[in-house]
Parts: sequence; C-alpha cells; structure tokens
Amino acid sequence: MKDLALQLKNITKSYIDGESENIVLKNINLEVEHGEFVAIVGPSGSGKSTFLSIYGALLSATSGQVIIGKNDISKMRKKELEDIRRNQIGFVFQSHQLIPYLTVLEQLKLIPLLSGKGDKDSENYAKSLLEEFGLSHRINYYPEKLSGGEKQRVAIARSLMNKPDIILADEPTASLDGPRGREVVQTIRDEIKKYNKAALMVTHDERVLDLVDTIYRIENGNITLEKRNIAI
Amino acid sequence: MFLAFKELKKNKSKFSLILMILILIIFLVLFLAGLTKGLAAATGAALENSEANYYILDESSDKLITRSNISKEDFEIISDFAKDSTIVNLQMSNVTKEGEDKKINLTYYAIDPNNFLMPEVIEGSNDLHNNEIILDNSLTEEGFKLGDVLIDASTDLKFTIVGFTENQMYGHTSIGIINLDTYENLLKTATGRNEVNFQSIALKVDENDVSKLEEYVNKNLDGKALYSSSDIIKNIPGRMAEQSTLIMMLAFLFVISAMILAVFFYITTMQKIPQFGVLKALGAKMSTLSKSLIYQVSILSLIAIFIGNVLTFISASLLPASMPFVLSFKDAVMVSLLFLMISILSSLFSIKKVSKVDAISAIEGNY
Repeated sequence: MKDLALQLKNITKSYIDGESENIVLKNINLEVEHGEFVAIVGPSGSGKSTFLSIYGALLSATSGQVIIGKNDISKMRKKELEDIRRNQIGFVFQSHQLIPYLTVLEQLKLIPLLSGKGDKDSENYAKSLLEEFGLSHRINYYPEKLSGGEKQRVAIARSLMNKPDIILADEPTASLDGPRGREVVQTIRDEIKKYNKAALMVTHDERVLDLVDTIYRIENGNITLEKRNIAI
Repeated sequence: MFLAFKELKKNKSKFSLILMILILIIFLVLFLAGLTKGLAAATGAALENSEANYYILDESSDKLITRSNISKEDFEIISDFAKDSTIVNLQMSNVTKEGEDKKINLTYYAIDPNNFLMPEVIEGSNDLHNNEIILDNSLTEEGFKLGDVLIDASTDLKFTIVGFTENQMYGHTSIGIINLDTYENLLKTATGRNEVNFQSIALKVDENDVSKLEEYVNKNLDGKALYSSSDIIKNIPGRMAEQSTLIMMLAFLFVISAMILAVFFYITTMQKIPQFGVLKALGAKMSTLSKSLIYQVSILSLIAIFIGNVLTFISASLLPASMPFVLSFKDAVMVSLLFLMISILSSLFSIKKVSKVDAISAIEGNY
C-alpha cells in the first residue's frame, strides 16, 4: 500500500429517487499525496459537495473505498467517522463558520477539547499557529470584530489544530474579494507545504488555480485530471 | 463545560433575561409552597403536631371532632383496652381580653394536660389548673401576656393565661388549651345542662394493633368508628379545597416554568443549528453537545434557585408572624431539586433537535 494522504477507489454515490436511481458520482478514483495541494473545480450541481462530504467522512459512499492516511473509512460507523473527523481531517468551510461566542484563541483550543485533550501544550500550539498567521494581536477578539480575511485565516489555523492528514476546504474564497481570497489560498498553500499536509480545495474561483499543484474537474459525476502545475 | 460556559459569558444579556424569569418563578414557587404549608398548619397544626395517630368519633360526625359526641362510659371502655388513649375536644369560640372589647377567634383544645396530647409549653407553666389557659404564641401579637385574663364571649367565664405553646392552630384560629374540668364547666354554663358529653378519643396506637383495636371499637361501642389522624385532618372544613387549589397552582407553576425553559432553549437551539452542524463536522460527539446544553440549563437553574431561595427566605423573615407561611429548609431543598430536575428534563427537546442536525449541513450551507 502506497503512503498517501487520501485514496479514493471506485467511489460511486447514488440516491434512490422514487423509482429511479440518481447517480451523483460514478466510479471515481483519486490519489492525493502528502504535501499535495489539489483543487477540484466544476459547475454547481456537479456533485462537488457530495464528493467533499464523502472524503470528509460526513457521508458514506454507495460503493468503493475511501482511505484517509492509513484508515479505510468506507465501512466505518458514525461514531468512528466522528473520531476520524476529529483526528485526521481539518475542515475549512465556505464562510469561516467560527463559533460566535469563542475568542480567536478559544476557536483553536476547542479542537483538542472536543477530543478531551485540552492542555497547556495545545494552547501553546494554538498560539504559535496564530503567530504564524499574523493573528497574535487578535487572539482575544471575538469573530464579530475580525475582517473577512482574518476570519478565514483563523478558520485555516483551526483546521491545522488537530495536525490532520488532510485539509478539506470548501469554497474558502466564496465570501472574500479577489485579493483577500488569493491571500487565503496562498496561506493554505504555505501551511501545507510547511507541514507536508495534503489539501483538497473545492472551488469555482479560477483566479486562484495557479496556486495549487493539481486541478481536477468534476462534471456529470465523473472526475478528470485537468492540469498538473508542477511535477510531483 | 467549555462551550456552555463560554456561551453564557458571551451572551450575558440574553441569558440574564431568562435568568430573571427563572428567579421570579422559583421565588413564586417557593413562596406558594410556604403558603400552602402555612395554610395547612393554620387549619390543622394542632392535630398534625399531636402524637395521636388515631381518633374515635361518632360515625355520623362526618369525621369532624367538633361534631362528634362520646360519653365517659365509652371512654372507659376504650381506656380498658388501649392504654394510650385520652379525651380530646375542640370548641370554637371567641374571647375578649379583660378590659377590652375586641373579640378574638379562639378554639379551645380541651385535653388532659398530663397526657400525651399536651404540647410543649415554650413560655410559662405547663401545669394547667381549672380556669387556666395556655395559648398558641400567635396570640402574643394581639397583645396577650402571661397572667392576662380572657373572657369567653358566650359564657363570660374567665380564664387566666398561664403559658404559651407554639404551632397550635385549628381551622385558621389559634388554640387555647384548657383542662377537661374547665371544659365541662364551660359547656354546662353554655347549655345549662347538668350532664355534658365529650367529643372524641385520641389514641396513640401501634400500626400493628390497629385492626385489633378497630374490631374492639366496632364490637363494644355503638355508632362509633376509628379514624386515622390523617383522615381527620383531611376533613377539617375548608382544608381540602384550600390545599388542592394551592397544590394545583404549584403544579401549574412547575409546568409553566418547564415550558418557558424548554421553549427558550429550543428557540436558541434552532438559531444555533448551523453552529451545531459545524461542531458535528469538526467531529464533536453528541455527548459533548448534549452535556453542553445540560450544563447551561443547570448553571442557569442553580443560579436562579440560589437567588430565589435567598429572596424567599429574606421575604419570609419580613412577614408578620400572623401570616400563614411555613417553609422549612427541607421543603425548600425539595422544591429546588424538583425545579432543577424539571429544568434538565425540559432541555431534552433541544437535545433531540441537536441530535437531528446533520453535519453535512455545515458543508452545504443550507440550514
């Protein structure tokens, strides 16, 4: 078995819609290496969200295998999927999705606390991450006091808190203007290269695609390799 | 605990509103509980605090001691069989203090002062002679002191106050204890007859011997029956109506507070569904989320219970002694625990809602 951050083998997802079967994803195969930054583009309704939900351990595929790090999650039960999400996946959502009543530092501390592991080490790690993100002067701010770009940077820092195998970003630039969006994607790139993490970004923002390593296009439930920016 | 506490801290104004409502409700619940107990005491404390657990009354007396009739011969038959038995009479009347015109309601509690019915005397002497009376201490508020003389309004007989006891009430009036000779004299004067009967017999019976005693009563006494003390207390006029009304109000208050809490937390939960979706996507366990909700409800309830109790006991200490309000520490704890339990139960609706939130909603953005 190759040491990959994420492997999808023959993933099919279908919904029973009345009498007919509605196939959203057909036989998808995908491999993401450690340190690779992958973008998935495609028109809306192409199954991007469903796809993200499947490798985000939120939704089970109808058939096929999903392997995150060393764990095959295809046959896992709900509780085990929760563990995978807590320990191996870092999420960056469309609009930051920070918890409104937690300060910037607490947003990060929450992640280890969800696993029952809040200690001084995790606080120090959170502080060092925030410093890296240039947010040290904001650690005691509530989300309402932050700018859009800052919020999304906090969200990225949060996704790194559990030292995940893979970071999943769902349209991270959706709520930001051009330059801010680009800054955020650049941040994701810098961080994953630094820590050698894989990242999968679902996006339709064509302006940031020069920052990723590999671009896949998803259309009508099929995925095709569109471009490799650099040879890996 | 982390999430619950941080949210309370951030949204102080929102939570202090519900806290205020909770404090008012718990205050009302405690106050009403005190009033319920107080009124119960005012109607029947003399019997409730008595050591007698059974009474023998006329079958036709509707279980009212005041309406019953028992002869000395009947009493001798009973006292032959049951050692711990004594005569008890309750006679409602009104009295004036010598030298004053103001009439005061009083119930004579005519008993043998050397027997088990005699309550503890907190002031003065418990040695009760003829034409002497021991009053419930609620009458000290009316200005009665040791050595004062009472005049019975219907007979003009005079009784000297020799002592005070406490928590002795019957039918919303204070008790005045007199001995059986004084009682006989009172009745004879009032009715003009030479022979008077007593009302009932109070007994201290071991529960195991009750059936034997009942058999004995039915066999040897005609038209008399054995009733338990709780049965007698329940049948004091007005008691049931008063107590059931108050208890119904209490129950409704509990239901209302449960509903207010449930609705408040349900609505705030609905508002937070996207957050719960995100937390679930981040891998938060359902147990973490439910605990967070229960912590919040418990923290709010405990604060409300604490402040509500303090307020209640402060206001209780400011009430005049004639106000029928009795709230023991034990009752307050019971009411508070019940309140806490109901609060936690009411949060179950919200927990159910949270359990149905789908983590995918955080990705899809459609809540």
